[in-house]
Amino acid sequence: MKNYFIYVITSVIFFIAGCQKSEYELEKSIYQPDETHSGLPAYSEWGYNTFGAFYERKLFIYNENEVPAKVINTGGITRFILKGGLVPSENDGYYYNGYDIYTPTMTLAFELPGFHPDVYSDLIHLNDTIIDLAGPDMRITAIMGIDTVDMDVFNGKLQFKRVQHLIVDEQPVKIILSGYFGFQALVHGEPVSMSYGRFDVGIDEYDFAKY
Amino acid sequence: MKSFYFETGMDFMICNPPDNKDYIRGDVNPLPVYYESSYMMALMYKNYIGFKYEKRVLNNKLGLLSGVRFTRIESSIGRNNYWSTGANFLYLLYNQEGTTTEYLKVKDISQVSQYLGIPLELRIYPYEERKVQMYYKIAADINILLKGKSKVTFYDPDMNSYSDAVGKIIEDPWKVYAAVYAAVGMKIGASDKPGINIEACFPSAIICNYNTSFVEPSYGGGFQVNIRFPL
Repeated sequence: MKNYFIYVITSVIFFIAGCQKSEYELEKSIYQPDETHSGLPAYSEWGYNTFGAFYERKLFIYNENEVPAKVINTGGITRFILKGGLVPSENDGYYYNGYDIYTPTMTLAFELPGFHPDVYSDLIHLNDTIIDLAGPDMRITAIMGIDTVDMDVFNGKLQFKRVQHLIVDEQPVKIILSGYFGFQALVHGEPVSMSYGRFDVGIDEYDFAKY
Repeated sequence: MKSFYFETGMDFMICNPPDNKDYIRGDVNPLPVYYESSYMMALMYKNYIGFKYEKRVLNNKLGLLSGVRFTRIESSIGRNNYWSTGANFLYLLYNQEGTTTEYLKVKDISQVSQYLGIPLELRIYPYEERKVQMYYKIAADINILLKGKSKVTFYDPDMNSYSDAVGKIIEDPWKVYAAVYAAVGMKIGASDKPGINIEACFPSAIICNYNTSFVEPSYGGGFQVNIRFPL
């Protein structure tokens, strides 16, 4: 009887472990290099959990240590947040994806004015949307290392080119957000640029928060 | 000297990784590259039976052969796992329309196709006639598709109803292909009596339209056994 009990418990543990492994596959980032802009991931619409842009002459790019994207609705404000590393552009982004090289973290939060999703699946309404980042209600905040910077954007846009329900084996699992971003802003009175930005990220119930 | 042969053989082909297909989600190794634990791979092998006729010329130093060959090719795409840390499935893009993208989790996709072909062989017999005689061969065959079908092993057996739909997503079998190969052979038995020829074929290659190919074979090798009847 005791052996039977151990057998059942072991089977249940392995079954649960197997389920968790299968869900984890869609959390991984898949780097497909951009043929034109070295170091950036190519634009894609597969939910590869990658993003990248040139911040001045550095690369702002996803890494394996941080969740690349979240959407947070709090205090009546919804923010689309990208989090990764800020690395020298002469290095291939692939080598900064979390193995043994220290990567300073950077977070970029875009406020999405007038957009108030209740659940992650409401993000589908962003499909084919272009947001003027220089608009009066727009605010972009960057956290570089330990410095929080309000970026005074005077030119730029955030484009959700394609937003998709991702269904796996007939079960909805994520929303895929794919698009571009780029802007010019004043930081401490100096004009800076974020250029050739692209993202292809999956948002599920754990990457979305409303509180 | 003339001979008639019944032949059978098998070739295994090394294929390029199927990492650029527009219906398979990209892959990533969960561990650093030096410790690969799981990756997508493509396999292909073919076996065949047939018969052929040989006419020896140039003082029996050269053999010219041709006949008819029936070939069965099985190709598959799946994932190889060294350790249990890697997933044992891949994501197949089943449908992408508007704001909905549907994946199916697939353990393995295979394609079985059957061909009728004509082998053309050139054998070189550089040594004196003996009961066991080595020879060399260069050969080719050209083949026409008879029929093909695909088979999908889903991660979740409840998805088996999608088998036919997935079969339409993957590439069709080649309508025509050619194979070329070299071989070294051993003729066993006197030439004026029935005997056996055994051949090791390497390298072999396939010529086909790779732009619409389910798998991309690069090179391979195999063996061939012939039962020989003198005429």
